[in-house]
Amino acid sequence: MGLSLNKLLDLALLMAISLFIGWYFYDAYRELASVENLILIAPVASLTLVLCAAEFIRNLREKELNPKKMESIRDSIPVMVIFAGYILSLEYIGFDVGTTLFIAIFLRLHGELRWQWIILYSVLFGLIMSYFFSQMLPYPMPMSLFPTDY
Amino acid sequence: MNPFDLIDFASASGAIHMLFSVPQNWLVVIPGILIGLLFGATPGLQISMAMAIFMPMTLYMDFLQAMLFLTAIFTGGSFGGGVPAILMNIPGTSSAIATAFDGYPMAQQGKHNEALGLALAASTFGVLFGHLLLFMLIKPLSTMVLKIGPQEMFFIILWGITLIASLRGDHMLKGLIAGFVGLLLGTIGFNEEGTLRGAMGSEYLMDGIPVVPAMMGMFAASELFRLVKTDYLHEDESVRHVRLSKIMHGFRLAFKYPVVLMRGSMIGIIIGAIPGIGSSVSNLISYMETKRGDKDPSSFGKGNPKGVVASESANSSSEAGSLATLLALGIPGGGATAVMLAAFAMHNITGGPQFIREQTDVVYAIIFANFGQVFLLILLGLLSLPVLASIVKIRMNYLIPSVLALATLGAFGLTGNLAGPITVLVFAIVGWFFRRYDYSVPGAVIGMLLGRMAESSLLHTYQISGGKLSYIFERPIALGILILMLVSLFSPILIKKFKEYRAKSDVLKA
Repeated sequence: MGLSLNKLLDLALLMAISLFIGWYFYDAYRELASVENLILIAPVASLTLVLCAAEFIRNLREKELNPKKMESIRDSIPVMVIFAGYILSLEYIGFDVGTTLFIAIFLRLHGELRWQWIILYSVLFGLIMSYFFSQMLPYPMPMSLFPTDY
Repeated sequence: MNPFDLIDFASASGAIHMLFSVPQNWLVVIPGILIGLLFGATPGLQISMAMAIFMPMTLYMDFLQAMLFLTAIFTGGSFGGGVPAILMNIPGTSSAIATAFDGYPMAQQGKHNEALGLALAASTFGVLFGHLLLFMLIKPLSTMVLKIGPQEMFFIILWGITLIASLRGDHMLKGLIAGFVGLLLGTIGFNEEGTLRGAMGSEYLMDGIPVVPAMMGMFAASELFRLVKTDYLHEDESVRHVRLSKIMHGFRLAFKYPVVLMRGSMIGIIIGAIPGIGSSVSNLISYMETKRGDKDPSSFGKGNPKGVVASESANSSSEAGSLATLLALGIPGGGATAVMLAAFAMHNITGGPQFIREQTDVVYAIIFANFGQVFLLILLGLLSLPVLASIVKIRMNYLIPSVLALATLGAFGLTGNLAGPITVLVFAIVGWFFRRYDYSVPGAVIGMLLGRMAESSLLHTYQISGGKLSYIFERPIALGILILMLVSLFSPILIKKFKEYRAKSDVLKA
């Protein structure tokens, strides 16, 4: 039986959810096997695992999904990667530089070809918003150009 | 019963004093309405998204100001969503889907100004009527909910989650899974007994997952990942011409359909009050009911003004309905009230009968502020329509990274460390997968918000009952909620089976 990539990903997500629930139940049980600790986790986790198994069987029996209804994975994954890069780099390059770079890279990869616009918008937005938040928040933010006590 | 017994006049007078003795309270309403209008009018950006992104700003406000700001966003957004629905057949939010059915055909006939006026009038009437009813009923409601104990609360939470699941139609199982996963995620961290669960050794997770950044990721960022290939929302020049005189004509026209206005508002309140449903469904039900009861149902979908009135009055009055559930029970009716619940928690406030009883003046002040918001909405709505109509020309490649960056900055503002932005990232990816494979994102978010409350309600029930299961049968309200929950869970399946059976017998007879 040949399964499409979409169907495989759908089933993989279900498996990942089941694994997470199984792990969380085990972790809570290992921590303290008392009624007070497991009063919600045990029944909800067990019921959800049963539902996951039922959904798995239903999904396998179901006809293939219509790929036209879904957005392309190829379109969304690069955005997730850029966004992840932005967030994970904040510790090192700060919000001011990070936000400016994130917006500039996003614009360039998504059809904006005018460099002067990319630079103008990303620098203005990135620096103004980061500076505004760094001044407004009661705790230090990681910044490069406008250093705080972070 | 004397209707005046329903109102606590001393608290009402305290509420008026509270609102007008501190004029700064009103300063947050204007930006709130404008943000709501802007987000509502931008397709792909939801009202709940706006509320989640701007919630960090409420850290600097007192509780009343925070509520005024968030309800103003809701009020603005409920009208803003109708603007692109009318002008371009693209509902700005899920609560304006039915507005497009007749609003867009009106725009095609060159009556977009009248349709915008109709939408504005119906929205303002919905907000006013809904909050008036809430003002009348909140006191008896608080007395009624006093009979609700931890067991009833637990069943209400479960009922809310099963309701969301039952709305998923063919994906009910996935809806339930999402809700229950949310419940479990909500219990991560230390419990009441001091046991640490699921923290994976991270000190950031000891107090649980930061819910608001998670909500930003699930609601806002995951949706933006999906819109990445959308270039422009609309470029047609003709949709930009906005005439005030014609809008005012449409505004007056709405009041020629008082039955449609009243029915839409009532439907909005009732549906809005049911946990997990809200304005996304109420506009459709109101539209369908108006069409069903009309002398000329065939005119709907071709530019009938009643269609716009029915949809907009229902989605706007839903705010009052969901606010009733939030205030009386501490349970959010939908995405927007889920954000409000998080704001409650940020200000150390727990919604519920005790809150209504002890802080009736604050509750009344929130309601009265919504009366004021109605008039501000008319004014700001009229002034901002020319701008709102042009939002749809903004390229998405500028909008998406700007909103994502704002969410990141806002999440840092909430947690004070990078745990906030990382939570946004993780839940944006989870939310993207959930949306793609038909798991209920609102179900997961509401589950996450209520996880801790569900656990402590169940624990208190266990302690009160001494572990006896028969205790359920001694609590008629709990039993009633349990039955309602089972009905809402199994009725869609039974109705579907019955229809299949009817269709089969019809074929056999033929």
